[in-house]
Amino acid sequence: MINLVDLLKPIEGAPHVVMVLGKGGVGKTSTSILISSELSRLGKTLLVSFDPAKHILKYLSISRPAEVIKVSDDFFVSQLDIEVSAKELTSKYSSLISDLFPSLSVLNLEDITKALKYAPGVEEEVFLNWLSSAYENKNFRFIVIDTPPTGISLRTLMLPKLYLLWLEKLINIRERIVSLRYVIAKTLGREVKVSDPALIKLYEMREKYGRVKEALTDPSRTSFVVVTNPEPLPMYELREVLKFLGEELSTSPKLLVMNKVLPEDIAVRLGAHEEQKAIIEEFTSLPGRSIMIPYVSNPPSKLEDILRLREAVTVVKGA
Amino acid sequence: MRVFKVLKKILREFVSFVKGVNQAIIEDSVSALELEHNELEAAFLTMVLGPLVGVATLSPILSLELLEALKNEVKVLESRAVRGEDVLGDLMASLGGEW
Repeated sequence: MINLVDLLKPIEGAPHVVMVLGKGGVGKTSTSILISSELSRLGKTLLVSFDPAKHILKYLSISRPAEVIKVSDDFFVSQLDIEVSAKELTSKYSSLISDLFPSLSVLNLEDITKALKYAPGVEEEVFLNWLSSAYENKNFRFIVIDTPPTGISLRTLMLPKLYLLWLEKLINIRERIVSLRYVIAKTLGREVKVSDPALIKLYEMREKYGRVKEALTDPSRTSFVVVTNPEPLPMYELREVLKFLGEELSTSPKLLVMNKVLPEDIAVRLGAHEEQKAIIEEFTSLPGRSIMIPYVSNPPSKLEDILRLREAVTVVKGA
Repeated sequence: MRVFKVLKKILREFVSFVKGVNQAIIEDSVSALELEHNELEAAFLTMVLGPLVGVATLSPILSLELLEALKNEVKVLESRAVRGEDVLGDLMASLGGEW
């Protein structure tokens, strides 16, 4: 039987975050469960699913999303609902907005916070917010993330870089404002107040997003696992993810997973043999470690089914 | 003795003149700095509050995160907006001189 942990090394960072990426339906949740179960032998592991289909609830027979549920000794799981978290995040600020803009209460403030939940980028914000707190989480040795759809995940991974760019501009303006205030007050002989809460907050935010950006590109703190199927569209998405990781984060995935590989006779019978062969050839030519998981006639429906898949995993390229 | 008194008066007037010029330069400089400060403050608040009113300057969550620290300035901005009916007058006043 293969050792998945060896394929993810180095995994020193505490917590070490494993992000499982891939097109919807390729088997991200199953792969995440497999990896989490392996990692939990080394230390306390939390599997968090952002999967909008919430498959994990079914696999692990969990009825309550959002809570951290113990699956076995050191294996914990939590299903997050991005929409609910977005609502929580934006409603947190509603009282502040009502305090600052009392005139808005005439226009029904509730509507404004409701609309904010659907504002472009809020889902990515929620994911990033969660991710940045995950790197600070000292309760777990490993955190495995079953990511939301690829578009949201990639945009989220891009956000720290973008935020730092914005924050840098805001800090430049703010520093100029504070220095002007200082010069004016000094010149006129007024009392000078050097500390500025907004500038302090901006520095804090720069540090926070800087830490996330650094952690994302550090292989000892973050492992990327990309899952695909022997079909054109999942392969296309795999290539896109690889391109993104290389170009934007200057990193590469630790492990590539080709899931649902049809046995040869079935592939021939279905007329998919040639296509599957070509895709697998391309997959095996990709750099880095990779594994293959065969297609199972009964799709896994519970934890045991998924853990049994481990016996069928073959290593294409090892450490 | 009289010559000395005259000289003293001239000197005092000269010192007052220099002090006046100096004060004028300082006031001019301060008002230029104040103008830049107000403009930058308005630009900063527009950037931060933009996403909350539909102007996509930066991420709405970044704005919300910053809002608490800008509470007082937002209140000042709001009161300025209330007084902002005579925008042209305000602009002319900020440029200084006779209009």
